[in-house]
Amino acid sequence: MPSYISSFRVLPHGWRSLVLAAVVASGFLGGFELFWRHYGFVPTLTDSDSLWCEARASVAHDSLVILGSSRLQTGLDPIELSRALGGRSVVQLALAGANPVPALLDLAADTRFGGVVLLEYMPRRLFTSDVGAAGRTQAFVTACHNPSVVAPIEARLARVAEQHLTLLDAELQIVALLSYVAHHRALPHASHDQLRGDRYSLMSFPEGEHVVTARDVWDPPFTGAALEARFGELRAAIASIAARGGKVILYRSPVSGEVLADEEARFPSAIWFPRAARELGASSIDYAALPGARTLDLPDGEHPRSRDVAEVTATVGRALQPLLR
Amino acid sequence: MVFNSLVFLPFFAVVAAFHHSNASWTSKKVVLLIASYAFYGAWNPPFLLLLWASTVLDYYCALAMERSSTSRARKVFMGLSLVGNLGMLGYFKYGHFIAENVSHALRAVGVEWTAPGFDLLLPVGISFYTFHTLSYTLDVYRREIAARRSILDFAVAVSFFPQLVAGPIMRASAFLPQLDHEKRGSSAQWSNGLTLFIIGLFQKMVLADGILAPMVDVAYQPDGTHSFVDAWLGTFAFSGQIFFDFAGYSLCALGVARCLGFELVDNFRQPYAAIGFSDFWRRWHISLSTWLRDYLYIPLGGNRGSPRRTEINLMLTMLIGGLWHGASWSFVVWGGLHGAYLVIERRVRGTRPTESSGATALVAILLTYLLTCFTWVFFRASDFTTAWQMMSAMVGFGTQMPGQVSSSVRAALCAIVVLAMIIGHIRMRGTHVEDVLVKMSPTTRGVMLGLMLIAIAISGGGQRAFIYFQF
Repeated sequence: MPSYISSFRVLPHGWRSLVLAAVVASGFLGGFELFWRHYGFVPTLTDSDSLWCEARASVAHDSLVILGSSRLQTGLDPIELSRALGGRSVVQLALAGANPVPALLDLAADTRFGGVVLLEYMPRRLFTSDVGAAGRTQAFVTACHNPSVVAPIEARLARVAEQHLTLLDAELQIVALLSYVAHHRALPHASHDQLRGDRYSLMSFPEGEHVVTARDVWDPPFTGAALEARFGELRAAIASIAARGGKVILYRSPVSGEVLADEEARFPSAIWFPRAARELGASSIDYAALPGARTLDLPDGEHPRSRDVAEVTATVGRALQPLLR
Repeated sequence: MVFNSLVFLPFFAVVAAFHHSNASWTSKKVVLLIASYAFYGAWNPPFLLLLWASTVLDYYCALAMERSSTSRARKVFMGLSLVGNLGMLGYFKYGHFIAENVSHALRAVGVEWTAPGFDLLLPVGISFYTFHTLSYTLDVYRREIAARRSILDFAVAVSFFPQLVAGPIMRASAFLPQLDHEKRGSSAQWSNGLTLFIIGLFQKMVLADGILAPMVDVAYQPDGTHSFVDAWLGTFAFSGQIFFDFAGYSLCALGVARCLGFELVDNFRQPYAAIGFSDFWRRWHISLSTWLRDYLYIPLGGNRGSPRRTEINLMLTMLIGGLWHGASWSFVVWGGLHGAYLVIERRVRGTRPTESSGATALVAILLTYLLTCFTWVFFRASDFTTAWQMMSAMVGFGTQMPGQVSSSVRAALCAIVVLAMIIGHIRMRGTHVEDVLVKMSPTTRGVMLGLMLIAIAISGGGQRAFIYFQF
């Protein structure tokens, strides 16, 4: 055999080491799992591109599709919304930390889709370049268009593991855990976030918790020609969907505290929300202005507690009904 | 399919079970071939057509070369193999790049021509298997090996799944003889192979993907703000990410192949402990650098001509090596810089050997590492603008804004990992990973592997593709 071929060295007691490794690993991981379960964590799914693609593939011609960021992923329950809309198919495509525009463009280009898009109105997503967040959505869209043959099998296996093991929770992954502990000098709160198979994310903040999440870094807002170009891009997408019998509805979800103050300072909603609806020719729903909507306790200013979501969803469902007729 | 996926486990279990059954060697090779095609086709089945085309073309070209009585006929068949393989590679990998550059060049002389759209997916691993199959026809052409009569053997050699998509680039002369007699992993090979597989997965999933990659992604964001510390930290992190990603893949490949009774070539030998760049290329992606040396640099004349000619040969080899990595000028610049380093090193040092010791060696190692990192910027940045921003920041002309990445726990972890990597490379400079494993007590090794398994399970590394898959 040529000299540059890797020469195989016999590891003394190689199997003994591997058995010991298995014992050490299974002992620690078993304890780790039990500890976090005891602490209150429960298994949750990971919001992967494969889960998103599965939801995207389930979009039917007349589905109602929720597009937005974590505000809508945690703020609207697809099951409740479907119930409120008389059993209509509702698909949750909102994605935490992501910009909905690439997903809207993808739906607009999908000639099989002629349903309704409930598009989150979040000015920092719609009216800034928002490169990173848009890139995240675009990566998911691209993954759906170029699926590998084994991706669905892999996704199914991963889901089975995630449904049964708390230790696979993203919050308990090694870097996230160390970061949290270093930052807060405490262990992460139990079950902060639990993702369901339909991609609805349940946020259960501990009682009394209020955190400030106002962003101090914003991408520069579009102005002039760039803003007009964005309006034009969105208008064209909405027109494509409308041409197939569908429609796009802008939805402004509940926001409060410093997050609201921050947004109002940059994009006053009294001006920008009606302007966006007018420029895009879209119907709109502002949760805060809906009849029956009460002021919600939003612990971080933008995500409702999961116990409030059914009520929020039902309120939005009632507001949607006349717009869908 | 990738090694760091759940679906690989049942796949490998089935393949290994059949491979260790009492079936005939021929039927085992058939199953290996089917498994390799399934492994590759799992990305995109139509890409298998290219793999088959390359296999069939080189199989018949090699046979025809061997049967040819004239040198001219041998050249024709060798040319056919080169045109066929490099043509496919050129069309799928460089088509868009070439058309775009021709379009730019024509525009520069006043001719308006728009390049046709090349909306093609790059077949995974095409650069690897193209070089792999070319080594076969080139060796047959040079009468260094005999053409294989069995197309089954040749097809298995081309497509052997552990090394198909990201190497190591196996020479036909090194792999084909391994198919002559039945292979099955011995107990020692299995324990050794699984050990390497765990270490490889740890390097990939925990160090490269879990700790370093997110930091690199932030640091290298296009149009991002780059401070001095962020730019260096991001680049140091990338030096670790690309090493652990690729070396991790190579270890997994080595381990999986070994479990089946096969041996592959070593691809890395503590590259960040290199003293100078000729030493670096003897330690980094060894299977590619030796391929380029044997099939490009030496046929160009190597160091047999004048010093000027040798330098031209070096530059050409490194420029082509850079372009091999991707259809982009940034890869050409990356290769060109490495070529320039080699030329300068050659002028400074002449033909004296690289070895030195003590403080001089340490300084040389650190200097080589820093220059390597500086050059990685072109490899990682998505465009020249980002590369320029990063390099400006690295020499002190970056933003004065507080760093986006340098103040996090992840930054501290990255610094620890990179520092440990460099110290590890220096300490193990003259040895091999397996030598270190052999010297460890079974208990220490077992605990280390156990900790690695734990980290893999809770790394959050996910299934990020291996960086070298895109090549």
